[in-house]
Amino acid sequence: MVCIRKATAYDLLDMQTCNHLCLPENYQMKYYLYHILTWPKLLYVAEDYKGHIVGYVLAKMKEESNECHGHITSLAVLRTHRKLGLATKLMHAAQNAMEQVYGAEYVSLHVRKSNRAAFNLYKETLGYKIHYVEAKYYEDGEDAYDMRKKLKGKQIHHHHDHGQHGHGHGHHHEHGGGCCSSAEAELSGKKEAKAM
Amino acid sequence: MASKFGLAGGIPERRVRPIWDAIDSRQFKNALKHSASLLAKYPNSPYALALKALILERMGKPEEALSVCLSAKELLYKNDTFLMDDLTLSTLQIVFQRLDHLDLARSCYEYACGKSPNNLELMMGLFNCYVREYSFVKQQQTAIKMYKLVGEERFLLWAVCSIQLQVFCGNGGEKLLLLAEGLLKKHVASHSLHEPEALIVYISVLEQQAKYGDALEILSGKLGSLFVIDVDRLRIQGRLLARAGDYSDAANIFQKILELSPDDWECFLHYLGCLLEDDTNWCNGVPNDPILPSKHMDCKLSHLKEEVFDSRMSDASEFVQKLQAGTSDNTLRCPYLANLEVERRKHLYGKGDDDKLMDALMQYFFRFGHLACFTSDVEVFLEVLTTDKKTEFLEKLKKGSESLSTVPTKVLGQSITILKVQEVVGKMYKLSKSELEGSAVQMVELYCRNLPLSKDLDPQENMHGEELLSMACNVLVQLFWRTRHLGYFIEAIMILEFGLTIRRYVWQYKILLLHLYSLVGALSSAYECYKSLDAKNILMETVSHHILPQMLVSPLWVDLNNLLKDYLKFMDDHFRESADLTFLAYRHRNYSKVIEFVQFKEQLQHSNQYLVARVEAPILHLKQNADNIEEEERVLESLKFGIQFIELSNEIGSKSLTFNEDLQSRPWWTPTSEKNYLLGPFEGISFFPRENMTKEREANVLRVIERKSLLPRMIYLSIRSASALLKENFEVNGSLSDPKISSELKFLLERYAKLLGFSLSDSIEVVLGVSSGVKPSSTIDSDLIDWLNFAVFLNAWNLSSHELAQPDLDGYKAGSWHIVDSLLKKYISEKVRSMDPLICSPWVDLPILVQLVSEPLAWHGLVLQSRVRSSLPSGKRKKKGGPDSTSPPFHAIRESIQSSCGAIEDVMKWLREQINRPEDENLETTLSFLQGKGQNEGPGQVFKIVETFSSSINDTQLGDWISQAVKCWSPVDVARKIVTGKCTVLSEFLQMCESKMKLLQALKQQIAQV
Repeated sequence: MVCIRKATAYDLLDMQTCNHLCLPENYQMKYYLYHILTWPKLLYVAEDYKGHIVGYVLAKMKEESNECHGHITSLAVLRTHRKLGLATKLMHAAQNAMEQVYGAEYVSLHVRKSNRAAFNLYKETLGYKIHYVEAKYYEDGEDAYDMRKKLKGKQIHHHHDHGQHGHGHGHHHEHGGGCCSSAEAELSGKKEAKAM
Repeated sequence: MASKFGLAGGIPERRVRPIWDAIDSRQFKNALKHSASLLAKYPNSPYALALKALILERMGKPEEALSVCLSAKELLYKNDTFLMDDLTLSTLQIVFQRLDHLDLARSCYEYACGKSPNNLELMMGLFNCYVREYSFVKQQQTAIKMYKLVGEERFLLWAVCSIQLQVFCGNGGEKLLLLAEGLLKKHVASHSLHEPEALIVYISVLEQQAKYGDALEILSGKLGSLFVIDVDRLRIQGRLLARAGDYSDAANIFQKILELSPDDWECFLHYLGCLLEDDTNWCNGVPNDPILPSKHMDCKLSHLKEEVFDSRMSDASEFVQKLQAGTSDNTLRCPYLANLEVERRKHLYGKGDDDKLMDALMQYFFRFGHLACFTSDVEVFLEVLTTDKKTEFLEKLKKGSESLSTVPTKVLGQSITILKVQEVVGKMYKLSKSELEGSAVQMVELYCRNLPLSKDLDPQENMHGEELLSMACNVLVQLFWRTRHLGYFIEAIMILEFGLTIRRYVWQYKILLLHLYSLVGALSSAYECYKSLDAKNILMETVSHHILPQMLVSPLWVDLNNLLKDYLKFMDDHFRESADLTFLAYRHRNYSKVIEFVQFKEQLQHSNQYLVARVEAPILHLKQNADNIEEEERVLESLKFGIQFIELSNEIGSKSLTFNEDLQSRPWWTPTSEKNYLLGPFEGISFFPRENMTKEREANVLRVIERKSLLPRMIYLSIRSASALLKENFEVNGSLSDPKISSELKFLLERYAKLLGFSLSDSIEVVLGVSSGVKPSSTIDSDLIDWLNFAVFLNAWNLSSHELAQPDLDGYKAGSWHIVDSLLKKYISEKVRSMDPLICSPWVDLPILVQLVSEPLAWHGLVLQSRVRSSLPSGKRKKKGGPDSTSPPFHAIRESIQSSCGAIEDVMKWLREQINRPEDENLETTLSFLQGKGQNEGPGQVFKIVETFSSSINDTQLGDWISQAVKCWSPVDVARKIVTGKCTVLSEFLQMCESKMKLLQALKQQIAQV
């Protein structure tokens, strides 16, 4: 009855309320905008039947040494709608899109060491493994687990990697081939964090 | 910063790198030093100048930066041999943009593109400039040029997006879309499409023209394979089929989607809608807008024949059974709710079966009854039942829950659900007072009893049974509504504060407390609650509605100023910066997001709250400075003497507003400007009142803003009009000094009167009548502040126009001074007399008193200041032969000052009485509300439960942190919070009055010297 669907710009208000109600890590408006304008296919919301947003996942792509991977920026589900498997569904939706649209090799995320509920979700339900511990990752000094999960990788023809056949002009993609944006460093400002 | 061939803006890169590095590391002084040496070597390099401007801007020297930028621009234009490179231009662009000169940045690019017409990089820069300015036509033209130049798909799509934006914004219709379609068709024929987003745009162009068949053909052709996720394609296909009226194929498609994702509720509604050939979902809202999804469960009564309806519904039931059987996932609610929806539709068609519906509801309860979302899930289905059936269902629930579960958290969840259903079906409103009290007691007992369940939870997690306290609070508020006994408010505050002691982060408690503190007049404690919500970023738009209305009529000016300032800064920054982000969507080929984004910007820009804040912030500054006419004049000057607000007021008729507030979090009983349930008599409403009042709210906001935005100009003109007086008037024998001021003020008075629903002459009748006691004072009660403002401005106008001056036997007394004096005195003193001791009264009259003092009285104070100032001899020179200080006009001023002093004194006296009451006494009074004198009814029953619980805690059962928290709980502290919250408001108000008093005393002295 909750519908998991792609987020639109109109959902941003509700998503931020949801974020605020669930998590200590809040982001600036432009960080949300940056996500939705750059990787709209990786943002999903859980919408209750009256049209209220009760959960969301915010994700992006990163490129490190030519290996393209997805990263979960934030995941939240309102407490009224927990124990319904919504977080799992949201995560599956985002992971699928990373894999199918961007050919991501793996997906990473950070989680507070103390957040047992979220840690269990990632480890037990979703099959993430601890990659390493990032000391004092959060603003309040708490450590984060950097967790990762392997995805299928580049099996699919990357939709950006097309040529302009039949045209005499060589063209350069300012950005087309990659999945990431240089604007990120400037925009992210705050450390990412996540919990459920 | 990129460079080609080691050159940056025509300068060797090694020379500029130190500047870049210094800027990056924010060492601007250092950067400026490097820049100076660079300029010594390349004095005429536009790039070197642009860098200098960039540094200056970052150092907070906007004027210098602008002038350097302009020199760079001039150099670019003057000398054609200069390199028109993107680096120089984009650097200039950054600075111009930060200086709010998008136009200058754009003209640089326009010039450059004119000089090098085939430079793609520059054209992209130019396109970006148009994006920032939302100039869709220019965007389109530039994108087409780029497309023609290199033939790339993305530039074509940029052009198509720009066309769609023109259409969405109402500039251009069918023809433009036809053009977009033609361009796409041609491109597809020769090059096909390569991006799913391009296909989405292509389909939306066709859909906007209702060419559903064409769109479907494309989707099912080769291009359809661009969608890598099947469900995405199917959703579009289903939508197109439904829009085309091909309901049976559409239903099949939605069925397929449900088989793939059985928890997709929206899809189920589409499926059912298509089965019943109901177009509600497809023709509502903006027909051309594929983006805004429909958000409700509205449906039309089916027009199908009975046997067709029956057979379709049995198909639906069969499919739903299949969905239920096909899933082993017991968290899926959709297939079970689908069952309920099928029964609901039958009801709406007139073929409902209550027992079947109740069975389905019970089934749903057995599966999901312990979840917090159960009640809101089934609310809409309960609505189709009769009152008796609702009660029957409630009984069934109670019985059903007995045998259900032994897991304590589930048992608790079900108990809460039953209580919630009781509220939703309206049963609460039928309970007697003592039954209601019993119900609140039961809720709080349940909360306390189940606290041990939460002992192992992490502190940031929500506790089991948390909502019980919110529910109990709602019951207590209802008890207040019925009995007017303030004790229930105090009790509600107590239990919520108790809950917060145990769990600091519960938003809902804080919001409830915020409203309760406001209602009892402890506004500064309410504001503390608001601050603890930590509403930042866009939450200032969605959440501040809880506090802003109360603050606008309060004396807490510093807090209000912060609230408005932070909010406006966020919104303005967002509007300034967000256009830049649009380009991300273009660059990443997320074309459909471009349109969404621009519409989202509009949604925020039309925010009603933004409009209110833009008008209220300057009015606050005017209030804050009203006791010093020179300061006030500076404020007015910064507001361009109110001209732009007059323009705003003129445009108000054409404005449509958006309401982005999150009203979900707002309890039904919280007062809005349209409705305050608690002020009216208790009405036996049969359900949860949650009306949609958007239309009324819009009209109301617009009406208020239209009036308020006249204020700054009227204040300015009143000051001028009052000073246009004595000297000139007496010198030139009473003729007008400045007819323009007088006529403009008259014009605005006419408008103001019209907004109050009267002609100017009728309004004058009204204020005359009320001030002289001929008309009852209740005549102007509903718009009291506006009427008094009107009287004040009327007097100011009369000072220069003398149109009202018809001295009768009493001479000046019948004049406009007297109207103002008697109205202010009458209403202020009346209010003061009728006020109860604040400690035991809710926040009803005080805001009116505050407004009387901070608005009409303050504006009148300005008129007096202006009048006195201009009657004083200029400089030290004592003017001989000036007006006689015993002449009637001076007498009137003196009387008016005296009268205002009297009014203020009354207020101050009352305030001091309240503030000086010993705190102990206040605390005692507050707590005494909860002591029922040994009776077992009235306020205090619920509080007793909490007290008993906290005095007999069991450490091992509750765990460490809960028992520690409970031990910290102190009712006296809460009472103190209420008392302090009230006293702070009163002290601020007293300060406001003292400042006015000081001013009036000073004026008295000054006039004595004339």
